[in-house]
Amino acid sequence: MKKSFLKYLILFFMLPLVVIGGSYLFRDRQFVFLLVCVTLISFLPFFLSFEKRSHREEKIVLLAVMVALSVVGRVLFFMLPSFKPVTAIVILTGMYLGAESGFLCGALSALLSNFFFGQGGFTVFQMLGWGMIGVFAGLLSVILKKNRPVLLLFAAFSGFLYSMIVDLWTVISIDNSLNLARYLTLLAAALPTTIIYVISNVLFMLALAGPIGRKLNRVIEKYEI
Amino acid sequence: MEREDRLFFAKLHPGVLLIYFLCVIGLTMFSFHPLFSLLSFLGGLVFLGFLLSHRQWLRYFFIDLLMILVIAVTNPLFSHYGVTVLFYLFDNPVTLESVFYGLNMAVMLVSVMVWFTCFGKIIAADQFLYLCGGSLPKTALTLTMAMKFIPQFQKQAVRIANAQKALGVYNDSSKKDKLKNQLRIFSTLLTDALENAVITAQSMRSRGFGTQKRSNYAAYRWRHSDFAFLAVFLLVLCGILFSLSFPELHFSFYPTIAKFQVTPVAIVAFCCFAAVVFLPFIIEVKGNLKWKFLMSRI
Amino acid sequence: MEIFNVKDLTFTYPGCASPTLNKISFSVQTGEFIVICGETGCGKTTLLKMLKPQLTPRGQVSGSVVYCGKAIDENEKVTAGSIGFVQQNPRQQIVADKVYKELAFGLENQNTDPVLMKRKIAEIVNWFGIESSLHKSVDTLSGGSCQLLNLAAVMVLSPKVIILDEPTAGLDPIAAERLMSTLRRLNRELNITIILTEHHLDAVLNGADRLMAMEKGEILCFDRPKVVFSQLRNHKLHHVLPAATQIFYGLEQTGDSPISVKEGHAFIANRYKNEKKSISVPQTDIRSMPVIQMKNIYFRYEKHGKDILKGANLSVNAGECFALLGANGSGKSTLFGLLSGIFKPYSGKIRLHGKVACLSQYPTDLFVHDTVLEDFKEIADLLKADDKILDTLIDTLQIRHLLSRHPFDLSGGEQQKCALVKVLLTSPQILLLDEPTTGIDAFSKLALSDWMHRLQAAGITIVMATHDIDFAAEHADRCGMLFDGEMIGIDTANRFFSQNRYYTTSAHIMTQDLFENAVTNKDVIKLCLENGVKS
Repeated sequence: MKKSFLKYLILFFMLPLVVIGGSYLFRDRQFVFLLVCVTLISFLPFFLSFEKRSHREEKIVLLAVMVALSVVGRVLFFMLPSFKPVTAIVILTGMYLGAESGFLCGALSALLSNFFFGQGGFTVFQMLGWGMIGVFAGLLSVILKKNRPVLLLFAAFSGFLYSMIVDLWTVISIDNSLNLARYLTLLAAALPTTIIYVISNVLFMLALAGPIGRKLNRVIEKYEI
Repeated sequence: MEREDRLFFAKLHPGVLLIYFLCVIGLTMFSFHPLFSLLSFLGGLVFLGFLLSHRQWLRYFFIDLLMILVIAVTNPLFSHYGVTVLFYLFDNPVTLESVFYGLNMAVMLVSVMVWFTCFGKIIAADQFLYLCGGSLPKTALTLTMAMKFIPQFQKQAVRIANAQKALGVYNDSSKKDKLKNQLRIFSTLLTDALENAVITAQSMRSRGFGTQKRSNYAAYRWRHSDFAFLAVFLLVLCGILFSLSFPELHFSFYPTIAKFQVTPVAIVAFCCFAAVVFLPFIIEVKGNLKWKFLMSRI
Repeated sequence: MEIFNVKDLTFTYPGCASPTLNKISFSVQTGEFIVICGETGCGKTTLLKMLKPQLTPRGQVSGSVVYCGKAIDENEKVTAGSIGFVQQNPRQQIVADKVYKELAFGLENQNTDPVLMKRKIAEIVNWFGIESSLHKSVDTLSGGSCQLLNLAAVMVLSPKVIILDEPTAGLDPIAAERLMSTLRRLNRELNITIILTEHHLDAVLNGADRLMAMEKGEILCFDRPKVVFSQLRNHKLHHVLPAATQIFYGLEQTGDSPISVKEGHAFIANRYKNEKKSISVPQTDIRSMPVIQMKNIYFRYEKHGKDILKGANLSVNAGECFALLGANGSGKSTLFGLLSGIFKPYSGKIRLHGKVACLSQYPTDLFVHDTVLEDFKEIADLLKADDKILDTLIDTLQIRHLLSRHPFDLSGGEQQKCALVKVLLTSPQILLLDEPTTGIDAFSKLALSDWMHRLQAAGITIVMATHDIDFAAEHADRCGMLFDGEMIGIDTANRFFSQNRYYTTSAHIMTQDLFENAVTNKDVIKLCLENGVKS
């Protein structure tokens, strides 16, 4: 009890110190620095609540399976560029296992697949993008489960959202501010790949929503996760 | 052993390595002085030299130069600040300042890329998970399990693909058919994975998972070299951070390119930064010399 | 000292009409080596799970299970470590990606101090002799090594009793024997109580103290193996008995039956004359037209890799059953891949007369839909096949009651049959079976043999890759072994096994110096009867 209290105290004081101090010392790139800090801090509540709560073992294994499947899926469809089943898997995880699990699936898939495909500054924002998609899927789960067209629409929208977030990082990291012209140009230049990505999301969702949905329902009911 | 495992630098405690890389990448990404960017670029390339073969390194180097060129050249198209106009393109001024800004930006971005590559080669998933295991045990466990499943699923995917192909009923002539087949294989893999997840969960439960707080297997120990490295590193880091509060280290390109100010603070800062980015190189050289010395004694 | 005391244990799964376990009572002493046998569905797995509170399924329970004098669900923290449990599937039980992490897992769960953790792991690693594997990735381990790792991961928690549910299912004979001898060592040297279930008793009974035979949720008999055998001699479970015992009862003998090959040999040598030394093998009616001809096949996976097949030759005739034998990793699956057209040899010719279909070791690889019927319909539609063909197949294999079930809910034997229907819908003339007898019980093996005969009668040629020597001896027409990239010893089943000294059936090993070519249990019985008793 005492050890964890000390840990939280340190965190409570250190974090603002680092953020404020850093934004002063790195005032040339203040915007970028604050963006990274804020993003990382926004992850904390999800990870901490995951650690704090107790989970059924089945849930943890399912989460690990989904993360692994999204990484393997990325490798499996490697010959078709931009075809990533990650988004579909993250959405389904969020829908059936909750917003917290959805976030973790998205964030951890990004982290883990970059161990294989290469890390970069974008890792944090990929984690943010897919994490957010997972959270939204969890919050909207009731509607998404009932309504297949809405689910497909959400999958498509998630594709755009993800691209926008990651491209946002690229632009801000260059300019230290949101240069709208550069941002729009980048979005436009990336549009063909984004469209393929969105289509792939819808395709994967069509193919996987039924089977995964039924499977997860069965396991969740049976083991009361 | 992999090339990266043979480095003396790689033998430091993962926590130390993580702090080092985060600081170097952070400093490069968040500070904007051209000398910092250049030093970081050089340091990263030197480090990469230990990790790649000659041919790979050369290829990497030329790709980096190309990227720098591209980014530097396209920057003036978007930012039109700056006083010295070179020429007009599509009614927009292309200024000297924005070209140099672009150059600095490019070197910085490419340096970050180089350091991330080094990071990826030195800190493998295992070490990262060990560090997580202390403060985020459940997350670390989930990641470990996912790491276990990934090669298992890959082998299974090949197996399923062969079995379904051998059936001889699924066409794979057109791209559409190939896609359908991959989707079918993925779906079968998925079903199998979810079904068998229960067995893994049972295996966890039967060994007492969740009954109490988890400890972490001590795969890595803190050694004298770790403390020594940290001491030197933190000292130098403080030097840099301290000097960053001074204005001479904040370079600006707009409206005109600032002048390089050679003050004592600046000199200290650049020396410290150079020390930071070349630290792995120094450690390698020192390590090699020490070995040669010890071997010559035998 | 008593470690388990089970009294009137009755268990019913939710939604089930009849109980899975019915008033089971028995007790186990510390240090005993107990084996449980019975048909699939007799309740042995459920019984094992009732002895491990972390795995006890939900349902209606009555009666009591007492562990070390206390009710079993009293202290879950303790029983997690104190009662070890190893399941069937070697790979799926593993939680971590590296060996040392898997060993540490249980100890981490118990919040063990890191220093103590290292000591405990060091102890186990030493005992098992796996120090060189400590930093290996789990996916590089073979099935047998994975199961040993599971055992080690359980041992690290210092259990008093280890329960194993069909631990050797899916392992080749060598890995199975390695596991069993490790268990025997654990029992003898460390006094750990062992309770395990098995289908194939031959490998397991060596060192066992007591044997429990179960049927329909009740205990038929629980006593020393020889006593149980005499009770089972006229029961349908006699199929699981070891070769020596089956021969003994086949010869209508009474008294203590022999169990091991040594005892079997002594029994036959002492009791029967051996003037007539060979048995006449009926000539099988095979049309000698070859359907498969592999000439001088060379194959490797990578350009600069090792040759898997070096000049392999194989010729299989129409309507026959050819058994392809050989160790794990000898290249049997590769050969099947070549025959099914997935791989191409870089030298040599393969000539096939007829369509080839392959049933792999993992029937679930072929299932795509949520019900068995949908899977069948998909293939039937793709092939534009007649509904009648599908109906005939379903009835021949007797799986009509499985059509609306989910493929992953079925037992191993049922999955195999359903996958077989899918494969047979493509109307192949040649059927490749990859390890068809792994993990299925003796009764399913009989059913398997039955439908294989029927297929052969319909003109289909079968090539089966198998470790199961007894099954090959009983069923195959010809056998051959894949060794060092070549096919060697191709001959009729009887000649193949009677000319081998070690790689042969228990029946032949038992009678090697007495009879020339007694390969199956039936052969031995026949020859003994023909020879007559010694005076």
